[in-house]
Amino acid sequence: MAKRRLFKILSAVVNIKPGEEVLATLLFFYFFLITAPFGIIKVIRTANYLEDLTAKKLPYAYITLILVGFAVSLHARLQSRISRRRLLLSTLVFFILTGLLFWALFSVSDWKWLALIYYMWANIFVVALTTQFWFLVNDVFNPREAKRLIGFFGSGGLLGGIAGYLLTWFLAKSEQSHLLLLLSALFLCACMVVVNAIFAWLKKNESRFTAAGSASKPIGREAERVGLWDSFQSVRVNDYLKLMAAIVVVTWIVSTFIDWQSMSIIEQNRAAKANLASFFGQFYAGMLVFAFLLQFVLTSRFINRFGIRPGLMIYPLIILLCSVGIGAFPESLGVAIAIKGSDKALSYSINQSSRELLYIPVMPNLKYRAKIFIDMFLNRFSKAVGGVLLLGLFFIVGLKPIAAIGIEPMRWVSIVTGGFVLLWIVLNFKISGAYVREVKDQLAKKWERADGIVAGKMDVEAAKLVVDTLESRMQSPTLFALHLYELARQNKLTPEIRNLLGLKPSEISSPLSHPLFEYDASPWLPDFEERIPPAEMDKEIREILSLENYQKLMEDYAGKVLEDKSGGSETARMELAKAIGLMEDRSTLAARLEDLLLDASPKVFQYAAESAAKLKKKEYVPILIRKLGDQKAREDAKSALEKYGGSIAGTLSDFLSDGGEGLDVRRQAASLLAHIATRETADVLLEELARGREELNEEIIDALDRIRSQKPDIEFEEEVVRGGFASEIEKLGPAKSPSDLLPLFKLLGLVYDHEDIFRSYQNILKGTKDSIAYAVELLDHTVDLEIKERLFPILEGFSSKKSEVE
Amino acid sequence: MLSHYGKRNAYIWELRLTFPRPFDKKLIGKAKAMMINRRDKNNVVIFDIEGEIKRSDITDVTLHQLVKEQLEVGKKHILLNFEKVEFIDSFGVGEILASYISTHNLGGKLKLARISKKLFLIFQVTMLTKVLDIHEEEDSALQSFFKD
Repeated sequence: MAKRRLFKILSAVVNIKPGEEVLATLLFFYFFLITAPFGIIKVIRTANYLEDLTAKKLPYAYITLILVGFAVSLHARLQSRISRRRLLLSTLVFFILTGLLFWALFSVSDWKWLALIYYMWANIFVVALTTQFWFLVNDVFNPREAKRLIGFFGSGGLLGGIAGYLLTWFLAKSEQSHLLLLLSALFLCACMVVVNAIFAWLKKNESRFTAAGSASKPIGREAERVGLWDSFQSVRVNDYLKLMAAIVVVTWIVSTFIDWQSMSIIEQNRAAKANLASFFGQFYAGMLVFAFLLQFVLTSRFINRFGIRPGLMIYPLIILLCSVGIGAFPESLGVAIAIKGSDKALSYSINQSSRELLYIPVMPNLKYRAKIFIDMFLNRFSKAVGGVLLLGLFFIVGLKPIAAIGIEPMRWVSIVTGGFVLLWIVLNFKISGAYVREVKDQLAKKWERADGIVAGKMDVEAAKLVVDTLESRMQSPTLFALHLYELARQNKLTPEIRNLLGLKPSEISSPLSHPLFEYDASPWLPDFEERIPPAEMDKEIREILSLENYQKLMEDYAGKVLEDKSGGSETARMELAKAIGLMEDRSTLAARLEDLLLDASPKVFQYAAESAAKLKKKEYVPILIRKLGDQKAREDAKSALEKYGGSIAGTLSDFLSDGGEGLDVRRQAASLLAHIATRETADVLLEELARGREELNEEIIDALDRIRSQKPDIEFEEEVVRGGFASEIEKLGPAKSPSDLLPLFKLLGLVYDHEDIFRSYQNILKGTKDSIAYAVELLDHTVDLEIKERLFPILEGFSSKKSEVE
Repeated sequence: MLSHYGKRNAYIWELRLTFPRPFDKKLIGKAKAMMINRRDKNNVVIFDIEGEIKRSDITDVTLHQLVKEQLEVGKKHILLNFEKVEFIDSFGVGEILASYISTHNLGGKLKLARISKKLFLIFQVTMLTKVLDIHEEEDSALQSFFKD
């Protein structure tokens, strides 16, 4: 009951699925209870540093961040040795105790450099706790779930920060700053309760969230030796992770420059300087309210609508704009607040969410290693690099750091920032492309179209000919000879086939055998090819066939055969049908083939159809097409028509669009048009699709898909395809299984990357929660919004159904 | 001499003669022009054909002309004996067919005996085995005239 109510409340603001409500709420509060104390700690960190050591010494503080690396290394080793739950709780205990120690030290000591030590501690605090939080989120959710919920968790973090900053502002204003660190310890105690609740819930729902098991254990054997060096090596050998690392370095260098610029301006402002803790509390709170609104209102919608690339681009573009602003107005507090506010607000909202999404397609073990290096070490290290670069810049432009505050260095820093931001944009552009490739790598395409495989790997025609040859031995020597002649002409009398055909004469029990033909077949067969070169024999036979007397004789013979209605004449008709295939199309015998094509015997029709395919006379086409409606003759008719190629496209189109023709005939006509696979046949099929005749849609869509598979260069009119998609999706109703969606994917494959579309479809068909999620993620980056809006609810439905089953 | 090779090798030898390849130039050089001898047996005119029946060696008198001459004098049972034929091309087949048609049109019968396996194979592929009456031996061919 309570769960249902919670779901109802959450679903009003978050795209949440049943069963996720408790875990999502707990994670929301987990993040809240990390960022609230950090809000307090951060304000104290900045205010104390500026008061005791001033902004001029900020670059040194940045450089000390490199020491965070040691803490990260220690953290990584702990992570591989103890369970996730114990790690999270012991980290919280560590920061509660050390936080209380600082509270005590600040109360009794006036030592200036304590501010620097506290600065370092605060940085370790934020790195350790936030990374642990995102580890857990990555463990538990797949890309689709994360994409839906990441905004919600981020909001929890932002609200926590706002609460922390507001409390700091309020207490500092009322001269109660000494209580701040005690308060942050209290938040962390509450966080321990939430973490315990999360693991208890995960254990209870282990079957539902498969990663829960791993979340409550150390990462596994693979991770046992993971240290900072191992993490670095993992990133070094992976191009995608290297790209992510490069972005983090550039982002933090820019952020360091911006921090120095804004702090320098704020420090110079009298009103702000009067009560720095109160100012920063107010400033950070305001900044986070802005970030929260961004996160809550915009982030998820923005990323869902526009994808990761714009999500990654918006942050550097705004920073570039602000950097130009600070270069133009280097003493303006308003610009300083704007740039620092934008930096942090965007960093905590859209950028944080987009960046976390970039980790989703990385394999779990690699992800842990990468996060240790990138998120826990590299970002701090980059800030230290930023500090060194600042000092270097001051040196290059001839200013001592101590005197660095002023208009000139401010502008120089803006110029350099601009350069880094441009590099950042380029890197973001590259990684958004790499992200889609990584998602694709998670989705292996498992099979090709069966007809394509058969056609590509098998010589179907040759196989049929060999089988027919074997069969003909039992039927008649003439048929056998005709087949052997054909095999020889096609250079198909390979040693294997000769062995296959070289059966002992005793095995050929043909009553029609001529005495002259009764020889030992084994030695005769090789001679057929070796002693009578096919080219010579072919020439001779063709010359005989073109003899007027031959034609006259055979015409008489054909007349007799066709008139003979006795059962025994079937073989004669088969022979005749086969032999006509050797004639020229202008032969008078060729006209006899029409009668043989209409023969009731499927065997006679088989040979007649083969001959028709050789002569390719237009007169045969309508007969052959109509035979498509006859189940026994269909395959032979189809095979013959396929050999006509593009010349019969018009006739096939007429049959396809003629409602008076049988449905089977029209369906097969669509399939044949696909075989011809030209721009024109694609247009004919699209035209038919546009007519919206439901009874033919399945074959037409399949035919179009075949054309797309065979000829990727053929373009399909998008408007018609979209119309077909809309009508198919309407027809679909509540889809019972993913295979019902095949026509939709075939249509999408016509206008989008065929490979990607079918990769997605096959993974949806696989039906696991993660395979569906990755498939949808790939589609999300492939198809446009209109398609997504119609298709995704169905796909997400499969995902939910799967979850319910699991 | 041929008996040393046995039945199969005799056939190969025969094909070598009938289908000379570039390396068999000597054999081409030795090829005989067509010769036809006529003899009568049991009211059947037998033409013993010898050598090569081909377009390039057309002589003044063709097989068809010889058959027609016999038909004109009322001989309507014709047997073509191919025992000594070394080579026959499509022109030769045309001669056989023309002879067959002429005989048939006059209500006569034309039969073939002792044709090579290669020619039989060609007749099979062209379906002429369905039209022409072909016999392995001369005797069986002669007997068949009276059985029909």
